[in-house]
Amino acid sequence: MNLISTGILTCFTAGLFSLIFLQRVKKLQWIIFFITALFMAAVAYRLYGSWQLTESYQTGIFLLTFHNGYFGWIFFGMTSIVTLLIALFSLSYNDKKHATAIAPLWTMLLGANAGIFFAADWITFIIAWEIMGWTSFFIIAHGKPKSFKAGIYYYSLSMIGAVTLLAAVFILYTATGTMNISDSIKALSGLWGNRDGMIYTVVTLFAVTFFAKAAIGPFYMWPAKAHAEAPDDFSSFLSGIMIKYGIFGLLITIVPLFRMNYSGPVVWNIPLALYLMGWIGALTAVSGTLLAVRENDMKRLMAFSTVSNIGFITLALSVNTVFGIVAAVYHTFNHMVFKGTIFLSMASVKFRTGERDMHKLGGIGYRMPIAFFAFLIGIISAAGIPPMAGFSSKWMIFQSLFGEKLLFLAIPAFLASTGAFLYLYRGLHSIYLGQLSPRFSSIKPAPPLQSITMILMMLSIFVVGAFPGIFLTPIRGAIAAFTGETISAGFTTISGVTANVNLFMVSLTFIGSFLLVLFLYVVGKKRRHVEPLDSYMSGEYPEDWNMIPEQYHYAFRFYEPFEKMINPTLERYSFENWFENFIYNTKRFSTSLGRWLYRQQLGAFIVITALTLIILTGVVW
Amino acid sequence: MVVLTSLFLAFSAMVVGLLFMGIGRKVTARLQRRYGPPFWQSYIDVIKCFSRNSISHSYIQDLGSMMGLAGLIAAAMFVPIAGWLPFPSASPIIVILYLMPIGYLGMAMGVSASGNPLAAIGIGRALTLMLGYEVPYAILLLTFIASSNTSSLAVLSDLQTGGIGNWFAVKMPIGFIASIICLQAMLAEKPFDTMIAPAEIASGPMVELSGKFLGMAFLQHAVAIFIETGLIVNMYLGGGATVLSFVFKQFLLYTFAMAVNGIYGRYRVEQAVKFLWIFAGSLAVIQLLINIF
Amino acid sequence: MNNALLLLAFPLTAVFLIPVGTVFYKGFGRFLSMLSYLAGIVYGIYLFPSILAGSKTVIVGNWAPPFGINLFISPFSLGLVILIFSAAFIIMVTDLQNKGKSGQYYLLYTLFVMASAGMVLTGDIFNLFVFLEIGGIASFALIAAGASPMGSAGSLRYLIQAQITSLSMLAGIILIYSASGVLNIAVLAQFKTFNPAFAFLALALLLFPFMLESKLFPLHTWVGGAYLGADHPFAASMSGIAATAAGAVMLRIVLTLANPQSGFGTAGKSIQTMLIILGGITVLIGEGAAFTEKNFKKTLGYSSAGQMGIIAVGIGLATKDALAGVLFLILNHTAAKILLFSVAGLFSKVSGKEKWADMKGIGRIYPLPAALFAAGAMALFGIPMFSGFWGKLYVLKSAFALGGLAYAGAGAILLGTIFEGIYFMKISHTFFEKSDISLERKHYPFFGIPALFLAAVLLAPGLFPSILGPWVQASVKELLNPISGYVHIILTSGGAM
Repeated sequence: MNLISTGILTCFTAGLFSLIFLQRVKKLQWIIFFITALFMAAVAYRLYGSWQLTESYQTGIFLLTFHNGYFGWIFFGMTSIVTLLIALFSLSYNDKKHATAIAPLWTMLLGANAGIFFAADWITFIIAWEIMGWTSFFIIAHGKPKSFKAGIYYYSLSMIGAVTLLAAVFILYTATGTMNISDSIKALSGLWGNRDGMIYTVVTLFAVTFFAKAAIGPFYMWPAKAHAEAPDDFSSFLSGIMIKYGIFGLLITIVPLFRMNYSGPVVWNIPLALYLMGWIGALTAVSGTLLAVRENDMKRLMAFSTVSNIGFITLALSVNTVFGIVAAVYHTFNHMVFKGTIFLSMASVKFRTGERDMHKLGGIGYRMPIAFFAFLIGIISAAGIPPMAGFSSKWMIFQSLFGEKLLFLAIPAFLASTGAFLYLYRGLHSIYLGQLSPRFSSIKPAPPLQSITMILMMLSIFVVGAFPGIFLTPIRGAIAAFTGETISAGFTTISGVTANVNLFMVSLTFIGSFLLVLFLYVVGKKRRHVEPLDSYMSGEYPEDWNMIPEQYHYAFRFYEPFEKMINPTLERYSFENWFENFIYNTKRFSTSLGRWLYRQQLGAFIVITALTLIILTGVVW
Repeated sequence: MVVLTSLFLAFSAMVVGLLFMGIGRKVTARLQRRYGPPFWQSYIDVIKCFSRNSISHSYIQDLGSMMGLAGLIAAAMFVPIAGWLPFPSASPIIVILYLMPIGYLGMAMGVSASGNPLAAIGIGRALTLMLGYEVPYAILLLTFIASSNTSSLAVLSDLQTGGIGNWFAVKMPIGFIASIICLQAMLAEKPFDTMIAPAEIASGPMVELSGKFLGMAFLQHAVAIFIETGLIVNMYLGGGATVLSFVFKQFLLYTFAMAVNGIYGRYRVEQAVKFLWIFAGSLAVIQLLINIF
Repeated sequence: MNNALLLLAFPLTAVFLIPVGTVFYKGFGRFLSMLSYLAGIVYGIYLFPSILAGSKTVIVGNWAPPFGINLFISPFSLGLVILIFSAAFIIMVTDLQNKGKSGQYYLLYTLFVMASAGMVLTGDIFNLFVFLEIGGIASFALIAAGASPMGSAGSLRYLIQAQITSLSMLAGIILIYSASGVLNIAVLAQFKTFNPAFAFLALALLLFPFMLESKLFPLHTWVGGAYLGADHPFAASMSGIAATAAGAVMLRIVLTLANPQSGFGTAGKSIQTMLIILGGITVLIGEGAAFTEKNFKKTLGYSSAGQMGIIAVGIGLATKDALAGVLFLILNHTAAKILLFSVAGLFSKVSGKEKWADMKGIGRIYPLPAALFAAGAMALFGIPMFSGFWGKLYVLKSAFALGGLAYAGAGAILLGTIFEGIYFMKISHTFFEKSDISLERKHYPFFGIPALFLAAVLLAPGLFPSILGPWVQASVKELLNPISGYVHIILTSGGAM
């Protein structure tokens, strides 16, 4: 049975059906979306184990092939589960007031999602990639002028990426004569030492494609626009899953290419190009962090946080060891879960309050406890603090750097990692803690379905934190299938170069300490509840100063001293400004093209000149 | 058994930390030509705090305070005291460095939930400062990885056995100086006490704490002193052959920090970060370069 | 009567009958012209299976090839003629709701269609020139008939350029005739005695008017004015019909007339190189100019220039894959442009606006046209699942395989695609943007069915490229083997009908 193509076709058919026939019943569109997500999860379940499954279709001169490899499957399985959870959330999120018309396109996007991970040849990959591009553009733009600006920004980068992908694939094809993804990379690696210039061209083109998708390096700015302006539930998908396509692309192209037959220059035992990629990743991590620290818009803040995490993953990929690849994939999955959780929690807050600017919120945690806990667990994981899942993957990334003695790359990584505490705490404080505005004093907790989703995701973060083997065992299997090597790791222990950690023990230690403190808390004399506004104010009463809770909430420009310190640097080296200038100049160029080159008067002149020239050539010859 | 030894370590960390705090207050007082409180004053303070009524602004405040202390106690479990650990572990520095933030995060969450802007300002400064000292500290960690390829505290202290000549403080003096600067910032003593700044933001994070919450904050600080000095002792001062020499080395470090605290003014937070990055950071990088090449 | 001349006879008869019939019934012109296209389509499809089995030639008036005029009916030419007639028919159908066009309009339009079909079919250069002149003059009048103030200005400028270039073609014909004494393509394809520089000059002069029609640089400057002036149906025809015919003629001249074994020798190769360069430049300036253009018709016109640039690059590459790509692209461009222009026409009509930026939110009132616009746009810039994707893919594949200058052509195509994707997505989304536009929703039954049909035409080869397979393979084989195919069939008259 052609399970993969059936799944993909189902997505497109369901999407088209709901696009065409269900425009008026939004609820039904979302139910169809949920059912499709469920179906895809079932497909993922059924596909497990049948690693020989290959489906191919002859179209024109190209053969479209899907192959169920362990490596593609693990990405597909993971994204399917997270998508299913997000879909569950969306069911509740898209009520009468908040519904958007994106469900049909999102349903189609699920098909592209499967296509990207299961593509065995480049044409299939390109097809899935482009479908992913335009559906996500329409979803991000979703009919709002402001979102449209963000969307077209995103799509411009997508187009650049798609085009470089085409170029890379065809150069690759010309050089190797095969369209099969893994075969062509293998064949290309056979040319190391002979045609280095061509290989580096291909690498650069691939890098542009996948960097643009994953917001690495000079493309760091699009998530802040696109994630922020996309529909709230989709932001979670965008940040959790879609941005990982770039990572997947790097994993199937550049990473294996440098692992086979490489004979070029090396720095600290890793290929020069990968070393450069490592620095790009490290700088991405740092710049994402520093930019997130400055943000007051919660979705933009978390978008920059995503950029920073992607920087970490790139860093791990550049190490060029199996340990590094495992660390990168593991962090990818962890990020999928915790960033999904964070965005869902923020979506819940926005669902109830309609606000995105953090200084206008505050104290929401007192009214929406589950959203608060989801966010809390999510940021603990994001900050890489034990006992949550994020710690183990971040730890492995550091270990992979230590293992290859890439110590200078570890410095920016530490900076980014510590800086994460700053922006994550800023989000926690400004949204969920501090003073509760009277405007929101009577908001209700998140609806049941949203709460269930968030609880499930929270639990998974906690459990994976204690038992990293839940993710690591399949990842190790997949990487072993992919690279032929594997690393040692227990179910609860992650090994490293400089030390091993039993995460279950760390979790137990924390829980034990918490119990001890709980004992102290219970022993201490009882506490009394007091309203937040009734606090120490140097002997003054807030009412005397006409102080209202909103003004009493310290959130706007939270890290002003630090911002003053980093702003000049960030503004001087801003690719965003550079890119904006570039767009501006392109538009000017385009306008002048239209005005000048298509000017009517030019026509006769050009025609006559060209004619004369040709006749003259003929006469003179 | 493991539970008992862990409990023992937790309590001894609190007891030692509180003792240091008391002595520190005495030292500061003497430097300022005051008489100062008795050295057991801190114990009295904590017991009193737990026996008084307290106020709380929301359930998150309670939870945050507990999480704060719990995180630091959990971190203390991984610091070997003269080679002894409550339960076997590799005591990796990174785990300790990342377990402490859960304490700080809990603390921050708790005081933020009180809704007092002064507390939020203090936390903001504390986190900024943390960015200042964590980076040089991480570079110091890298120097050990470069030289001995380990990030385990126990292994590091074992490597230094056999006399002062083997101490990393002697072998890597530049890194040691950087670590002392970082320690000053980690302890939040002057010139890096901008997050507390009593005259400016009314003790910052502590402004809304009362009763047992304040008591837990005291305990948290005590455990933090124990861990932070313990880290330096294990990393640079040979770890100590006996528990007594270990604690004595900690005590020396802390007293030195308090002495510096007594004579300096206060940096603004961005000045502090710059100072730490430029001085401690470059010292650490120099040490790293020496160790690599 | 089994005579392929009928393909041209149907519209020609209509042309003669229209002035008479219009006297009695005002709608006669429209009726008869549509009927003639339909007859052409039906007859073409009827002929198609037998032609697929073997190409035929039709000798007009029993004068044997070197002296008389002959038509060449092959899978390639017949396919494109069917395409041209279908395009004309569909454009007429979408235009059905516009009442009040005079009989002369239909007369000229039918003449234009007939000339385009004739250009594809003819086997004689002078005959080609005649058709070109007929088509050029008809277009000139049809642009002016756009009834907008810009119409006459645009058409005058087009006229001047078109006339200069047809003069150049005439000069080329004279040169060739003076050197060889024949004007039949099949005979010339075997002729052996041209001087290389002379050959290049003659070929360039011959190609000039077709480069103008397909808007290649540097003969692209008329695009803005003419598209602005023409009404939507004729703008669609310029993109869909005239450009298709020009593309077919360029293929014929470059690959059949100037094949390497002919007297033109290597000049054919130089012309191909020139086409790659000019095509590349055209892609860049066409898409570049469309990037910020706000006027709807002008945007589509510039985009058409860009598409023809890609086709020119494909012709220049002249490999098996590239030619297959060119055929896909021609089909795709014709169908997509008609679709886009009909949507543009509909939206201009209901909103009264000329700029796409002023049509915010119109897709929320007319969801189907706006969605079809998005589909057509995606087909144009080569999104998978549309025929344009395969076309672009084939051309790129062979460009990268050839290397050298072809890299530059591929680079231009790719860069142009970026621009094209961005502005088409911009336009598509603008229609769906939330706005306070308030229009009454009217029903346009003559829009929906042809538009859906066009979308299906775009989608079907995209999903199943193999349905075009036999036609594409036969055409590519014919174009790449001129001596054994084209020349052999015509000169031995073995395939005469």
